Amino acid sequence: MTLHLERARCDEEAARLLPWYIAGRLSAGDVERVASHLQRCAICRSDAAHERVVRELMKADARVEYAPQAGLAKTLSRIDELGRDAPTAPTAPTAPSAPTRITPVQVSRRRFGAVQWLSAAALVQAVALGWLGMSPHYRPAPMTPTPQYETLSEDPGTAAPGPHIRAVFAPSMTLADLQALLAANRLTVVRGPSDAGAYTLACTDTRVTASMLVPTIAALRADGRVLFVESAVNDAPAVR
Amino acid sequence: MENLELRSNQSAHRIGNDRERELIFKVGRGDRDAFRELYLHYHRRLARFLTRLTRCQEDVEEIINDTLWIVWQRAADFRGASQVSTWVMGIAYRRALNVIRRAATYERLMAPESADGEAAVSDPVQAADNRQLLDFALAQLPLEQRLVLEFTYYLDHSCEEVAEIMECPVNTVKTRMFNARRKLRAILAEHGADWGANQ
Repeated sequence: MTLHLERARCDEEAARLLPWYIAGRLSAGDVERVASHLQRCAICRSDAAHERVVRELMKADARVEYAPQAGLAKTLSRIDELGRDAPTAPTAPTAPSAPTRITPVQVSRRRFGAVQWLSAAALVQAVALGWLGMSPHYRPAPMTPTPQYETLSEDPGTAAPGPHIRAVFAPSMTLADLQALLAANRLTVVRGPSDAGAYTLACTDTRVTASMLVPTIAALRADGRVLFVESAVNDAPAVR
Repeated sequence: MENLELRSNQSAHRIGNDRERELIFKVGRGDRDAFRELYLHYHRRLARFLTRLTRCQEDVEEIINDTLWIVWQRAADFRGASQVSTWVMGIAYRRALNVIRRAATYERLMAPESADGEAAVSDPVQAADNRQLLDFALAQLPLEQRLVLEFTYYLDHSCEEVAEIMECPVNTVKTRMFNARRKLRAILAEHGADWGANQ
């Protein structure tokens, strides 16, 4: 009964602010509100005692030591690489050397399929260059002073319009099969393969939205020659 | 006395942000020493909570390196409209989501027979201390609820800053936190832990 009355008197907003009161991250006005409420409410006093223990335990997790030097050295070498590459290839995206999850599929691909993929990539590139050379609309891109860079875990093809798909294909798949599969699903290669063996794909119809690509992704997943497929979201962080 | 401690925490936070702004400004001008200091500072802040989140050291290193790499590239564009830590944590949050989703997709592909929703932590009966029990309970929470707890309790972010990092309304953060606390306390109580009983 007493507990029931306490609950009825509880200032819900003060109760919701309790974690930030414990963390010391409330405005002065809210601190006064929560402190004053705690004097009157036994339930929230119990909650506060519990939350303090939770926070102390989360803060006190010092059993594992972390060695940042290897990661720092790797990142600094990426920066050095950036400086080295910039004058010679200002418009080419730099493939970073970040550590990545190496899946058995990728290991298998690297072990048995590297030659096939290199050949396929060279062919696709040759066809694209030939088309560009013959196209009356082609104008060489102007040299820009600031190169664009990307990380391994972000979608490298976000500069192209429309939603994208990332996919890894079976090493046994021929270029003709790949082209047929892409054509059947109205897809085109935007970029790839990446170091992780992934291709970035886009729909040939630029009006297509991300939700309209869901059946396409399902169709690719149903195809045994497609080892991995996911929608690629443009998640580049905004600079505030 | 308690309020004095709370104000002291706010003040320490401001001092930290001033130093971080100075470092970001220098990094924007290509200062490698400033970048080194910023990297080491954020490695400490990020490593523990990312380890709890991903349970994979390789993923933790990838997220930290990607995050600080983006900081290096974009520091010159940082205009200071938000706290430095909020900006960096926002980048780390999006990197972490990418890696966690990719790992989940990969695990689904490679282990289709595994039971969905199985806890990553072993039976709490085997847990030796409260920290292990808390780890077990945290692992039962939805990702967004766990993150709100980590950002608030481990990284000391305000409610507004958490909303900015997670790109959601302040009220959503409060609701996620409320649900997280309620669920966490229920799980802990199920295993005999009631840390609010003796206040």
